[in-house]
Amino acid sequence: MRIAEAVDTPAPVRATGAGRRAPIVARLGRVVRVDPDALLARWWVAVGLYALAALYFQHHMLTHPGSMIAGNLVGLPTQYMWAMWWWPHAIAAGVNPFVTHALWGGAAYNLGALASSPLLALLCTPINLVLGWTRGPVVSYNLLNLAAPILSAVLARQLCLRLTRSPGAAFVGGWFYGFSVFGLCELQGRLSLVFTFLPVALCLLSLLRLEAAISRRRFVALSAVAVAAQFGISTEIAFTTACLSVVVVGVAACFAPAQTRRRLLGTVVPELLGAWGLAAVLCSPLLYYALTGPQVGSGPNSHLAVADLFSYVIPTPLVRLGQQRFALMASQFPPAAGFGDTGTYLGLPLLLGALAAAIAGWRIWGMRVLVISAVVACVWSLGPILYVSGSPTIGLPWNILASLREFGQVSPVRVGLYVELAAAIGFALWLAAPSRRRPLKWLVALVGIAFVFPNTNGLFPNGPAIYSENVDSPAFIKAGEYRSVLHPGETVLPIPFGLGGRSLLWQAQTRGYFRLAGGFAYRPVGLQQSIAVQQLSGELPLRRPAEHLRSYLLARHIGAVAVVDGEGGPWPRVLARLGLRARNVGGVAVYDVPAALAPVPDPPPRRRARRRR
Amino acid sequence: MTAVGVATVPAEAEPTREPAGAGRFPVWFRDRHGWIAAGLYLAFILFLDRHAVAHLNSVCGCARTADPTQWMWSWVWIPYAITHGLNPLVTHLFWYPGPFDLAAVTLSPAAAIPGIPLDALFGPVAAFNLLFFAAPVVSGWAAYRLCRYLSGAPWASIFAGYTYGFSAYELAHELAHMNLVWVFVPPLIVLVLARLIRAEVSARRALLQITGLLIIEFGLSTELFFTMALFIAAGFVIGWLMAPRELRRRIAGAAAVTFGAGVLTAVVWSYYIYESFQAPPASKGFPPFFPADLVSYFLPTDMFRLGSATFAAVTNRIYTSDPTEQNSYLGIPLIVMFVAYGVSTWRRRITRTVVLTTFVAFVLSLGVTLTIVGNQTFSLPYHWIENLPLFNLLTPSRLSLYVSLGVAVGAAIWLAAAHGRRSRVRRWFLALASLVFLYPNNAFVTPAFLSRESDFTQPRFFTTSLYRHYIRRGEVVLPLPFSYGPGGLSLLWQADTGMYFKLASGYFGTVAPPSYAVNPLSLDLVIQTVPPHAARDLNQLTRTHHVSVILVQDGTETQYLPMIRRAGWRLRADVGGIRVYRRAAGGAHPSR
Repeated sequence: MRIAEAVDTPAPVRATGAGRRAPIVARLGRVVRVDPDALLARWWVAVGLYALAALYFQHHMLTHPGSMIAGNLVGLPTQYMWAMWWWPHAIAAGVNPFVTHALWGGAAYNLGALASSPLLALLCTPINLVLGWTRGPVVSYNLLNLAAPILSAVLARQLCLRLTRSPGAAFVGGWFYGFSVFGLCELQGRLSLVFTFLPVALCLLSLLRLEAAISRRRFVALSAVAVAAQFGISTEIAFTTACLSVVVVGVAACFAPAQTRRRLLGTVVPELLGAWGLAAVLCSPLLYYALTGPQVGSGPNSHLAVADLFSYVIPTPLVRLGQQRFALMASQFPPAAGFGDTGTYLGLPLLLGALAAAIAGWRIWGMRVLVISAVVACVWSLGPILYVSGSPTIGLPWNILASLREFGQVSPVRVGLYVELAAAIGFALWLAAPSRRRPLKWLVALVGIAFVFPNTNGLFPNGPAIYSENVDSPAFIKAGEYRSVLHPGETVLPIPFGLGGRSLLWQAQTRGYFRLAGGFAYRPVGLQQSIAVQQLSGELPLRRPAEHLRSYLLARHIGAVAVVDGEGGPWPRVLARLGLRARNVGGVAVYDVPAALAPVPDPPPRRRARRRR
Repeated sequence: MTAVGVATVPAEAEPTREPAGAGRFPVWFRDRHGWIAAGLYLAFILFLDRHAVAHLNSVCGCARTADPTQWMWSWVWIPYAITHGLNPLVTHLFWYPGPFDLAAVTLSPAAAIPGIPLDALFGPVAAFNLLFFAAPVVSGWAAYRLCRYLSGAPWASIFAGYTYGFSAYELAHELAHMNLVWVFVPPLIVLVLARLIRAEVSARRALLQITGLLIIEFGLSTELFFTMALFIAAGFVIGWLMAPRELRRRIAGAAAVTFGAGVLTAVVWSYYIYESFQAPPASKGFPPFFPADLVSYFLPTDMFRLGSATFAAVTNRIYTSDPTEQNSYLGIPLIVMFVAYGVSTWRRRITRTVVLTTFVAFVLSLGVTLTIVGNQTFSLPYHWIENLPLFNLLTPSRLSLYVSLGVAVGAAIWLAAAHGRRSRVRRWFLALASLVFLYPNNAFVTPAFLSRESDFTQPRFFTTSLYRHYIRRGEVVLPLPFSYGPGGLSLLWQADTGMYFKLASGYFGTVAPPSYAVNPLSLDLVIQTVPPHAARDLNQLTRTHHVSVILVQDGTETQYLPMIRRAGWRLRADVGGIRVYRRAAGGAHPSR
């Protein structure tokens, strides 16, 4: 794509850029080749700076990499830590890794339909084996969180470099994408969504193939690997990337010159389809279970997890600059997405730079493709109804697609990622364009980076720290004291329950010594309406909790209830009403549940009399 | 293209062969498209206010509030004062015993010049209607003249004139404010200045024209006069910074001419200015309360048909209950046109001057703090000037007027610059879209201001000679509804009777004189709450201000009746839509 032609004005020659073939912009007389060693050195400098930034943004975990993580979503990160145990364990044990019975009291639970990121889990196995399962999953989680933005930034830099031939502008473009607010949001606990390399990788590869800079075989192989890797990490991003790829190709087919269109439709698109097909074959078991396996309750409703129109320009508490002044506005964004998912913020400098590039290069077909695709992504991210500062206004086209099952499971707000990618590319093009005001442009770039700089030491309005969370397990798990009170394979009900606590990590750290009567955020279909589960999760008020809990304990054959000291809330009293007694072991109160649990005694007569009155 | 270079757009296309006798008429009079523009604007406003047209003296093309009565009253007061040898700038007839300084409020003596004869001929409501019909037409036509001069394209200028003459600002103030709807002076002064800078008019002639316009503007609204002077100064500074050396000299010359015109205006209005400083301002602006919300430029209010219901959830959070301050809406197509104009011709000096001056107006209109959907965020430049003299009397959102003017000019030039059929079609499509976006909502109704057109039929008690049977000439009357409370039209009652009685009430701004303000009842009556101590307060108010009659409009008596009875006032008559109360001991009026 000749997006770089957006800056097609006569300009002095700049000594940057190199490639396997003559770069696009070289034909404009602006670029000369430089020493490949110099480019390599710049590459290392860029990677080093990205790595330093990633380390700084997540510096809270550096001091305690085995217990602290950069996140805030309590139990959500432990899903991925659990998966790091489950996938190698299941493969080594020869059981079906896509369906687990280790959660939800033995119910068949389909991991294919969830973000369990098997690829990441398997990649981390050597680390976990070396460090041991007590520290390993947390350290691996931290390492992956560090690697993801660097990978995205480096790939985005490569893409921008290909388009602009300016290492500086490419570095900034890479930064804006790699350290986008989308990434900062997902850093809160959604490891699968932190890995956002696929759209950039596909853009870069397609661009290279369009220019005939790589062979067909290499293009198909690399694309297939990228797609398969994304399938193995997050099917959601793979799906949205596929959808927007269709949009990009469609728009390009409309605007590209005849020769380029022929090459695009005749060569690149069929080969890309081949790569997707190959990746689909590679990931066919995962896709099979994702589409046809046991059903899992649907996640956040796509109608609700949408971006507010202002979320593109109003910072949330995740960003340092302006977060206090705009806190009230940010708090009005649609609550289903919340601060943890509303990662669409671009900041005014980035937006203005990208707009300037769009205006300057509107006559270039590549820029039109970029802009129109970004607009489509933006509209998609806004969901079925346009929200303006929290107020619903007009219906949007997404309303039509949301009724389809596949689209209905996507959170529109996350499609903002592609707007950020387009903005990063646009900004890099604007920055690289020859101008008398280069210092001013670079000042804008620095201000733009400041605008999306994370609020690393900040707190959410409700109190907890944004970029640090302690996931340390009690001595009950770490010192192996569970062995003295739990039987192997026994089903344990952990309190705090589900993602309110870290029981998934406990199971990983004990290498599946016990089964859990809880699990991931999404419940098996049979348990979605369970009153006990909803009460344990805090979703329903506690009305007759003892009766509901008793039914749940019996139905799931739960052998013990493990309540973390000081985090049990009202449940120790409920358990006492069931006649269960606690044994304090390593910071956890363990209640043995007999197979024949006595019925809940009637309330005392005085209370009943008061009720009658 | 012009020779000077400040305006690198085509000059107005003048007819090459003038018809016989054409020299007797000025260019603007001979401009056929100017007449078309005025005709279209007139037809449109008559269509919008068709009920007022059909019932000229009973239905007002405005909201039923106390605001319009100020000017209706003044058109009776000024001839009354002159014929009785009184100072027209000081009155004792309302807020009795006064004196009340009319120079410090929104008197608009210039509007009285056509208002007085029209009032004498057709009555106050009809006079008000006729002037309200004329205001957007003249303002739009003036903007058309400016745009025609700068763009050279008649139809683009007609379009631009419409966006200015029927802008959100104009429509908002067409609800009530006679002093603020006459906004033809700013574009005409800019036109004269542009011609002066391009040496198409002599300095002397420009001085005369600008002085005349400034005198009119001062007579219409001192607020508009001040803000206009401010933006002309801003335009001079920005234009001077953008201009090459030779042009800077001309801009400086034009600035000197404008300054001279300002001095002459000050001389002409010197007594008025002197009088205005003799009393504290009773009508003041609200810098912190009425900023233009950032979103208000994009989202329509109830006053516009398209999208007002859809975006009501957002706009209801933006605006206060006062729709007359919803001045800002431009609509997305018009904004796109202006942005396109700025981007496509940024290298031109005129573009930079227009865009930057508009931007200054835009930023100042946002007020003291940037407000986004009702959420205050950070301080804006207005914060530094809000406490300065005169600035503290302004209402920031009204500065959107100058944004409308800048946008109209930009849109006209951009439309005129279309090359080729495709480009023209696209640009005109956008222009038509912006007309659709700016189409007013005839069904405009709000709880506070009701609707765009309202029934101003006055009680028969005042429109006939009935009042003479129950009130002595010069007696002090307490009217209910009071002052500017809902339905408070007592100034019009007084005007209808030819200043027959004095009022222990009044309305020229929300600030009551101190002798009234000290009594809590004066505010209670405005907000229509009758506290338990109201009877005592009423007696105190009436004794202090020598009130002998209380007039209560039919339909509003239930809320006041207990208070009036407890205070010892008795009903003497219920006639002609008015209930007349006198003190119990006073007995009936001898003339009855």
